[in-house]
Amino acid sequence: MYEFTEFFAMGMAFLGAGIAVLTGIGPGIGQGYAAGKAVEAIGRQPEAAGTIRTTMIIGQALAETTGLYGLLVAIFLIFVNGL
Amino acid sequence: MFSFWTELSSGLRASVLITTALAIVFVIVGARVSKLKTSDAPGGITLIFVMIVEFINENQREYFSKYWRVFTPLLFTIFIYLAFANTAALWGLSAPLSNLNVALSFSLFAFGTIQISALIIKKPWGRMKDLMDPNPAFLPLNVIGEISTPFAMGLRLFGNLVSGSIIAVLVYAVLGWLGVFIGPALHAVFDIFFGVVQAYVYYMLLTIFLSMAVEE
Repeated sequence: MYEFTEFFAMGMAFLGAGIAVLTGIGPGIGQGYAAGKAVEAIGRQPEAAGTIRTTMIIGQALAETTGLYGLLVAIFLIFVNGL
Repeated sequence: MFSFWTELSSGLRASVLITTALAIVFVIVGARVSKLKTSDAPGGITLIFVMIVEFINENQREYFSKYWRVFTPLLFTIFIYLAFANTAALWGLSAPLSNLNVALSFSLFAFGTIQISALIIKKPWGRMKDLMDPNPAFLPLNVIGEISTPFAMGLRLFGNLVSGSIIAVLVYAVLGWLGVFIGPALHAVFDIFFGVVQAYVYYMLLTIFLSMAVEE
């Protein structure tokens, strides 16, 4: 039915890259949740705003890692396998 | 004669340039600080550096109760290098950390620092006891944890810097000359803000893991 060709493999690599960047959903939810909680905390305790903001940014930068792994997989699929 | 220089990848060239510039600046400032008497008030650029060192010292004392004097110079050097390397795009250099070799050498560096200082300070037997923390069955898990956290630290730097540069390339490719208008905001977010935040995160994580491995 379908023949396995170079072209087919390249297209599949691009599709895989598209699926891999869907990992961005996870960090998006996590970072939004962290930001919401930080806003709540600042509303409750405005004098601690500086500390809360620093902690929030560090936590969000850590949560970003899983999304970046998806991005790395996508980059490798496109540039190593696809093109 | 210059083939060594031109054959290096752009990230490594930027890394060499930044290291050299930082070394020159630190030698000059260090000479000026060492000439200060305790009664003098520092001024100008010396004052800025003294304040930064003071801030880092205060920061480190929260995490290290005993060994902060040993590790603060190392961690401060890493922080300064990363802060300038991640904002290298502002000077027309390509960010060194967007080269996978540089990023993975940073994870190798973190791994070596943590393991060697823990071995020297706690002695091999104490280190072994730490690795078999609740009971000896946890040894493989702890070893995997020791390897994977520095690896993740290097990959995090790489991913952030590469994603920033890829998004910049995509936006410029789509917008063409209109990119002049959106460029400043893009570089402010991806080069300055994310770069400095990632430098701080690497510094903080190395501090925390070092203090966990070294302190009681």
